[in-house]
Amino acid sequence: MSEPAARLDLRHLSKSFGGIRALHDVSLRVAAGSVHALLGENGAGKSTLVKIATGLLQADAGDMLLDGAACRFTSPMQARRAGVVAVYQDPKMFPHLDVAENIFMGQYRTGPGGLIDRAVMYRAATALLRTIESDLDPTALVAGLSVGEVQFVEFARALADRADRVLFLDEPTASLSPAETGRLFRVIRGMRDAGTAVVIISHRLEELRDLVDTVTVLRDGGHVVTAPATALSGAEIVRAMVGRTLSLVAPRPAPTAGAETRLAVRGLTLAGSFDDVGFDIRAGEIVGMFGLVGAGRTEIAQALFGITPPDAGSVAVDGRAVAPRSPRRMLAAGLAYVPEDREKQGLVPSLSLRLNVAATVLDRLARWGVLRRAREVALAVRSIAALAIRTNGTEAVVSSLSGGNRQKVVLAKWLAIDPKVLLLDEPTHGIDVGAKAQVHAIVAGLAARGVAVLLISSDLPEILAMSDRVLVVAGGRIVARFDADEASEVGILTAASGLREAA
Amino acid sequence: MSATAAPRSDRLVFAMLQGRVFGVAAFLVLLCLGFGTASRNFLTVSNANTIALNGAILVVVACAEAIVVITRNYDLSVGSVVALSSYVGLDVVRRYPEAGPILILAPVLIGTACGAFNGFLVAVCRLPSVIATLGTMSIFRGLAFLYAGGHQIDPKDLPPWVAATVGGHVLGLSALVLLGFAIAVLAALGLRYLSVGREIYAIGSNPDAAPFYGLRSERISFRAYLICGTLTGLAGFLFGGRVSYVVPYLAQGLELTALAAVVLGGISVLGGSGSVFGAALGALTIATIENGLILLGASEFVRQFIYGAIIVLAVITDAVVQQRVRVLLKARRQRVRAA
Amino acid sequence: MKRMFRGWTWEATLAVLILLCAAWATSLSPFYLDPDQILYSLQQALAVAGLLAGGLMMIVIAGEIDISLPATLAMGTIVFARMAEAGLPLWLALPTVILLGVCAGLVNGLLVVGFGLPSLAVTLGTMSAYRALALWFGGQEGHADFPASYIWLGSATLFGALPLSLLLLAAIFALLALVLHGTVFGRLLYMIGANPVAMRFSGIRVGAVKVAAFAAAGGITGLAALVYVGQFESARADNAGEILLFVVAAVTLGGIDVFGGRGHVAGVFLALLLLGTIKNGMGLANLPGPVQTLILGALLVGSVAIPQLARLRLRPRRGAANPDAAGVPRPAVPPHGAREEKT
Repeated sequence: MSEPAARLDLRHLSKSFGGIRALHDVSLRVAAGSVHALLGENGAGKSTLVKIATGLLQADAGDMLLDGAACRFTSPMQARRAGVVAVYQDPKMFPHLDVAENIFMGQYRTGPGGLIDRAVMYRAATALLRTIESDLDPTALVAGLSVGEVQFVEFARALADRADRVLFLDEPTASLSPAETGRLFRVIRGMRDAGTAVVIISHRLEELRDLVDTVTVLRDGGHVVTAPATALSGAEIVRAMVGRTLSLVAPRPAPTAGAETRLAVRGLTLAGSFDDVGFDIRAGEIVGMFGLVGAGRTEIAQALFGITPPDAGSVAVDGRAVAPRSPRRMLAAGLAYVPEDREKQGLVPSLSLRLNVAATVLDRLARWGVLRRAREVALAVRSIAALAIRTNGTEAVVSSLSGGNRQKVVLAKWLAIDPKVLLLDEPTHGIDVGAKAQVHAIVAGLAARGVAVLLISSDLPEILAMSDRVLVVAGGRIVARFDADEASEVGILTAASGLREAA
Repeated sequence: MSATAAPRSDRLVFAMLQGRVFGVAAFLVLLCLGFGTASRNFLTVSNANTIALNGAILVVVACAEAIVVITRNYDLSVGSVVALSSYVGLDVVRRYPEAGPILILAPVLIGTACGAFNGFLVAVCRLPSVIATLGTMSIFRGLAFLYAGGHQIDPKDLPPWVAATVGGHVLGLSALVLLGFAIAVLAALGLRYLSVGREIYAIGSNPDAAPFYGLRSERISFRAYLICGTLTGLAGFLFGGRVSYVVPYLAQGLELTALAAVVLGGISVLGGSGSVFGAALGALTIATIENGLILLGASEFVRQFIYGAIIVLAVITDAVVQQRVRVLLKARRQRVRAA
Repeated sequence: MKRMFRGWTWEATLAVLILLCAAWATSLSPFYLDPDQILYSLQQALAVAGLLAGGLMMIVIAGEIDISLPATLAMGTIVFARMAEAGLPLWLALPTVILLGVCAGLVNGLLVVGFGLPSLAVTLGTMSAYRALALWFGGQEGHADFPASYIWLGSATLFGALPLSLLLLAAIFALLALVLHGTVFGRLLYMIGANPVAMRFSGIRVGAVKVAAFAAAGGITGLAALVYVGQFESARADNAGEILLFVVAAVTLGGIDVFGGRGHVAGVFLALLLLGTIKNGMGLANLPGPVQTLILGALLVGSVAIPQLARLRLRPRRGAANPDAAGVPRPAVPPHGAREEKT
């Protein structure tokens, strides 16, 4: 019996960035007229796979077949024209234009004289929107739409482009209301019945249960299992996602009992991002914060640091209340925030290591406003030594350093203020294994010296190895708290996915 | 869930994003009432005619400038383009009087060439438009001066069709005014019904999204400057036809009034929003202000100050409105999420 | 020592160009090489414009722009003139004019920072407003007849030949060099211009620094107004109209990156000397005013376009997304116009 050619056949794809292996020998067959879930932790390789399939990235090795014919996309537009398209969580649109204009941008139907036939455009838009069960007014400005509505416009655009052979949906329900989610699922079923191969990346396992035909789990850039959805239970899926072989760091000594509370957070709320967040961190403690994409962890940290001040809640550092109204304030209170977006928020990549490291302590290093170069150099040299930064010297331009070393520069900058509380947001994201271990050692050393550490991470083994306690965030709330001895990868991920603890 | 379900305040703000034209119109009406009560000579037909004539050329330049501003750029060289296209273009007209009205293409195409150069600097060389057009401002005027060689053009030397176009009347209405009106309408229609028009709004609205739609930002910016230059060239012809002597020093400071008209008319300097009707109304408002102030005997200082104040206030208002829209959108998303 | 010369290619090029232009000027007229002539010509061209360039430099490094400085200059000259006519002593007039400049700069800075407005639009508006104020203070006529003390700063010479105003320019630039390359404030200007978001995340009050830069530039412009009155012995509300082009050209030709975050004081000083030499030469060649302006405009455009084109040719077209991107697709070609909001 010969199998019909799969709609999309990805074969032995591999992709590395610098020293990091994002995908290794991953194969995926998606059948036409099916809904296929692509699951895995953050960093498992799902987005990389989708980017390769839609032409944003090129694979280092492996090939692709679309309906049995070999293909290779070098741009998203090319993939789109071949019928392969991805819809992301926050699709980029033109807010000042209306829905129909966004749908048909670049391919307006013109009448005589090259003028756009707007009546036809609006009719076509309405028809498209109706096929996806949307009653959006095609003349409405995109600026006025909610995130969910914008996603529907993006679907309509995919349909308009006849990109209905393979449709990738990245976390489609993350920003949708329950009503919109139901509608979306009906639309997906409709597309499946019409023959489209729909691939959904999501963590909402329970939600997808009734929708999905096939499940593929990736882990650590590699393929773990592909099976019909009915054959795997939620627990089995979770277990397939976790349990990576990489073990990164030696276990830490337990923090001293009875240490005083360095950071006390109560009732932190920011409308639309997180609600009633409260926790303590004691001196020498590392508290891990885990959550799926969109859970609100970065928002919490940035609110704590005063970048986006919260609507309500209180923060106390070493017992003294501080209102998180600006980063300057929180820095003065002893907080340090190492951001997730290293290049844009953590560093000035065009400047040297020395300048970057000194950025937070310029006043301290200067005398009456005059810079003391010797002191800056000394600080830079100390930092290079203490953090084992591989560089040509203090004047090396930061953009020339590798990812791991750049992160160390950011760390050095914040360690220079001798912080009481250190907020780390995905500190080892995009760093090679060796540097990861070094960063962990540095953080552990800081904790040993009494610094209170909040470690935000999507890397389960990292969280488990480093944390004394784990907070699980989902939908802007803390949904679970574990001590080190009771935390497990399965337990954490289950809580984060909104599943109840499976047998 | 559709836009029609939005509460009243939402609709008001979104109307402000698109409907600022009405604000300008209202302002213009108030202005006329104000000047009318302050001076008996204001609300007369002949005065209205003066305003319209003076404003017509500014309308054309404001439409040109608006197209560039919508793409998040500036064109500070419009005054110089008017001077260059006016002098050189009318000189060509003067030399070939038998060729007839087809030679109106001379100043227009010179304007197009200037626009192309601006577009080259901004779109291809990726210069910030301020720097580029500050430079071309002096380059174009210098070229005009070099070409003129110390001479000037006497309108009496120009073939009669020039005066007929600029000073003539069609169906009882001034040809100039009709032309200004026609340009504004054509520009508005073009921006709405031509693909390039929608693309101009698109890259001003969200330049980051352009590649995902297969839009080439540089090409679109270049076209915007090209259109701007062409319209400015036409304005140069009209300007030259109206002055007593055509000299290369024409229209100095025109870029200031053009930008004032544009921001007054609701075009956001942040790009992507506003309509050329607004810019045209802004131009008429500026012309009205000038006229009213002269009638009231107000000093030069007041006029200058008002331009400055208009620009600053209009830009502040725009920033506040955009901020308000952002806040409302965020609130909207929370309502949806909570649902 | 080697470190000092690495990265000075731009400045070195300027120095070479200065010598070449001096040679060209000499070929035009043997009178060029007269030291008195050179000093006088440089004074005419640079004493006032140079100060403005020094002020503008700070603002551009921080990633903004201010085109209202010439209007502030006009305002300052008028106020100075009025105070002279009122018989007020110099020690009162001098700080008043400088303070006026600072206030003008503060208004600009507060509008840009307070409302988050693009600095070009704001300073376009304040340019008109300040010129209007100059008209209001001074009326349409010009002013002349200043007491000797008032014109001292702009016209005095040391040893009979060296203009005091040029010394002042050099002193101010030395001070700027110290501030920009040796103080916290200067360092912050560079870092904010290079990446304002990261600086905010580092606890720096980005807005306050920018406002200070605008205010400082305004103050220097106030000082320039004093020099102007002494140099030209006149004050009109509409003077210094063409100076903007010269000042901006000096800044861009001096190697200050128009996007912010890069450039050296020495570069701008050398650019001023180069432009001054060119102006001198153009005067000797009897080039008419608008032609000189044309050449200046071409220099402005060329000084930014040529390095840009070179940079664009060298950089290969990116076809794939940056792997550091955290999950959201990035466009292959840098979006055009994305930077326009600041300038």
